Amino acid sequence: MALASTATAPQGGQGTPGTGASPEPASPGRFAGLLRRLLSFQGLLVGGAVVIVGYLALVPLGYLIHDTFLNSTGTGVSFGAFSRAYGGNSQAGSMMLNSLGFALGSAALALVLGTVLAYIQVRTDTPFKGLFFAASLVPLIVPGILYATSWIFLGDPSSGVINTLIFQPLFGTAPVNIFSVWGMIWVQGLHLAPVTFLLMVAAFRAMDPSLEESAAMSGARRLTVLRRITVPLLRPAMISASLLMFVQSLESFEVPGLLGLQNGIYVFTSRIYFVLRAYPIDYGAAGALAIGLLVIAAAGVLLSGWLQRSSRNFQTVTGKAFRPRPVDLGRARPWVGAGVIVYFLVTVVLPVAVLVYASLLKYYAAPSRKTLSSMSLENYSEVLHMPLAFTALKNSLIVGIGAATAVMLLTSIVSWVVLRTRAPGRRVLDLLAFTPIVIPGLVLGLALSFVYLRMPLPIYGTLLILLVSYCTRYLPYGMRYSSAAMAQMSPELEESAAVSGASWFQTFRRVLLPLMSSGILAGWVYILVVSFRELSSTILLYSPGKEVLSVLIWEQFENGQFTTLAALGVCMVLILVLLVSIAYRLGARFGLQGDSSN
Amino acid sequence: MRHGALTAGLVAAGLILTGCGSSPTTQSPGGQAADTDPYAPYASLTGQARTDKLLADAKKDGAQIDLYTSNTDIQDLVDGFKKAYPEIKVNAFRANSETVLQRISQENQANKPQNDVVDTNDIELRALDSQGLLKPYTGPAAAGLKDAAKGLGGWTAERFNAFVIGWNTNLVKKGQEPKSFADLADPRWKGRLSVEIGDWDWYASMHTYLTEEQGMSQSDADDLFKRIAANVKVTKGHTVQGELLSAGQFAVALSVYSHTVDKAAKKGAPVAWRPVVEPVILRPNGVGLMSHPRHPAAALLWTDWVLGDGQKAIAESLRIPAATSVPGFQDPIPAGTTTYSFSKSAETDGKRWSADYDALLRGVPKAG
Repeated sequence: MALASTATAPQGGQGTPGTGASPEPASPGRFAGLLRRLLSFQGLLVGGAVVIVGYLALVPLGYLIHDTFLNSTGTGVSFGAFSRAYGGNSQAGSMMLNSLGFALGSAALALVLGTVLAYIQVRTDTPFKGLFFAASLVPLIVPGILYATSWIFLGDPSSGVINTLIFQPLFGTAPVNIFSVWGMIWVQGLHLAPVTFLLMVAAFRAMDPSLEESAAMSGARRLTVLRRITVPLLRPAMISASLLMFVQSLESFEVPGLLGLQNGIYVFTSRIYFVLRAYPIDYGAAGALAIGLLVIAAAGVLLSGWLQRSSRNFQTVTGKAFRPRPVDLGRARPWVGAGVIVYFLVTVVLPVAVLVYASLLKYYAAPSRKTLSSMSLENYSEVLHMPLAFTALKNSLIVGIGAATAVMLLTSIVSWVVLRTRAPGRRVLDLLAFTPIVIPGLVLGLALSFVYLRMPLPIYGTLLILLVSYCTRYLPYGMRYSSAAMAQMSPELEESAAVSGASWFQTFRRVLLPLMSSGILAGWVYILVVSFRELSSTILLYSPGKEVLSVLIWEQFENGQFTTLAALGVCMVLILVLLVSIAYRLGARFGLQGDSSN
Repeated sequence: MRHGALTAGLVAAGLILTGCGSSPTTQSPGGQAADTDPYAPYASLTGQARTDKLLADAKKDGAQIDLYTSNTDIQDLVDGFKKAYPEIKVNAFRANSETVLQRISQENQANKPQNDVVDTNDIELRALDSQGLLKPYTGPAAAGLKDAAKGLGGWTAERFNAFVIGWNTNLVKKGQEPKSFADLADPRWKGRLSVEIGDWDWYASMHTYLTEEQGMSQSDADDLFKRIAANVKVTKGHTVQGELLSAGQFAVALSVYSHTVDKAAKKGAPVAWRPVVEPVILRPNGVGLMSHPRHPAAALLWTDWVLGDGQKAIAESLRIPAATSVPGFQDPIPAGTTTYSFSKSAETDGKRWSADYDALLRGVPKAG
């Protein structure tokens, strides 16, 4: 972090962003000159962003490393935690393999689904475009535990609705079994597909279709164009998406916990779960497990950096104007439209229908005449009468919007540093910004409470500490969204702005940010939506009177009120869909292309 | 800038590295515990005089109380307390028991205690007590409590949770119910039983009951658990477990709370836990007065009420109150049922029990 900022500073001082730092000639006034440049607006802005990002990432990482390597007497370094975490009967190897298979499968499914959908949405004249909006949001909004539970009710081999209502009467078999690795990949992949979709929509928007058109004109067949032109051009976004989803699947426990355990499919995170549930908690072992994930994630970041090494190849946003023109689907149009409907049914309608259905019941039971006649709106009135419902909604909005805005602003600056400068240490910075993704939420919460309880600033016990926590947690996501957008930007735009006399800040604000806005808005929406359900660090850090929605959800969950929880989930879907449509409308007013229109 | 960034980085790293010189969970605020008892001024008071004095002092302290709790029915208690003392505002931090423990430990290590009273599970209360963070309750309400609720050290039980074996009455017909824990090893239950992945404390109690009370050898008890484990499906979270039991996704849940089943049955779900499969495992949940409260009078007022009149609210939420007699309360556990509570050994061995339970569910040999 310190390295990076030292190097960006002189670079920034040259006033020609984008070309990298050249060695400064030694001169008597060098130090004074350096100081003056550092104190320039740009120096402060870039340096400040780098320092903040570094600080956000280092606090939990330092805490984790400290707990992992400190020996039991607290005086020296020890590797005992690793043998406790991976040795003995831990089956760490087979669990890791399970995890990798699950994570690779989910990431691949989500990548294919999200990319295909994004292509159809942005580049074709498919019907039902409005449905994409819901399909890209709803799976993100529904908390993982509800989404997975909905799928249990749908795909249980004996009582699942899909088996009993569709396959059993029609084919006489019950082939769907959600409690398998394939079931897990299916649910996780569907849950994650919106992440890819949001990223890829932004990438397709920023891509000049004339490149494909010229390839086609030169006689390339459709597949060749796809393989040689389209896919390579989208590499930064696709790599970013795969990395995010792979690591997130590796790190999540909702789906493996609910679907995998039933048939004894254990994953890596079940070890972490066990370690964190015991008392006294073995923080060393938990840290050692997290560091295992960190190594995998770091390898992923380095690999993605290497894959993007010749960055000029992907720069599709150049000084040339273009307007993405939709492909005429022709005879395929009804088929594509049907596919869209099916996808929408499977990812949105089915799970949400289960939630709505459950929210009208007193307790969950498979649909029958008896359950249908006992339906009522009681659960909704209970939600509305929760004493904290409105405080929590307000606080969730404040923290969610705050974190989404802060993260996207910070990461758009930092991704500029990483991709546009030759500052030494920029890779480290990129890596550092990715580390929070593998830090267990509880450890993040402990690290933050540790630091802010000892800091004289009034942050502990206020909403600010939640804001800091969310900013840390979603930094990796913001970073992927921003750098995917930045990678498509050609430096010639900045250069021409600089030549025309624009300052760095003017260039950044008037040229880069607007061009990246599609990607930035996608990241913003993602962070806003997922921050509504962040619980693992929130539960330790919130204070009475500063409740957020996820705390209420947790309470209902803990209290066994599944049907009330379902009602709360339905309300959340409604509120966030409304909120995000407003965001897109506002975005459209400021010159963005709306996601629902187009 | 160079120096600024470097300093910021070093400060951040240094703050972390030097600050947590000891494990964050085990240390108590050194030396501070030896000072005066904040509750001493009220120790000799009883009856209306006590209540009046506590109320007056509580108002002087800001008329509020900071309560940390993992009790999911806390709202019933807060509402009841508000009715009794409308002047006092209750700030309740609600979280799971592990988090409550972490939060209190963290705040006390930083010498910034933020709560007056804690209401949580026995394991966490024992841990807090061993850190010297609790002061025993000696007020008048203690006289009305069951023996099992008293003499626990720095905390007092206010209610009991009962771990029972529950089943779906559509899938387990009358007369087919399990009669004993050992019955569940029968192959006819294959794939029809459910346990929760985090219930190592239930496992610890049941295992200790089998060896200490039933005189089983360690290896016989291990063997029985292994045969039962061959029949189970593992699920995550008691709520999901309860909901899936109602929905008929499995027939029997081995470790559910009686009040979860009772609440579901009250809504009409086809679930039951009686006739009882013995033993019912009773887990005391309690209230503890903090050693360093910011509102000591309000803390005592709350504790007096919870262990006294508040017991009625506990009974109404289908829990088992700690008081010997609560008007209108009918014990959900039939008279003469064998009950069992955690032995003292469980608290120190949390790590081992958890590791053993983990190994049992995965079907691998115990560690070490």
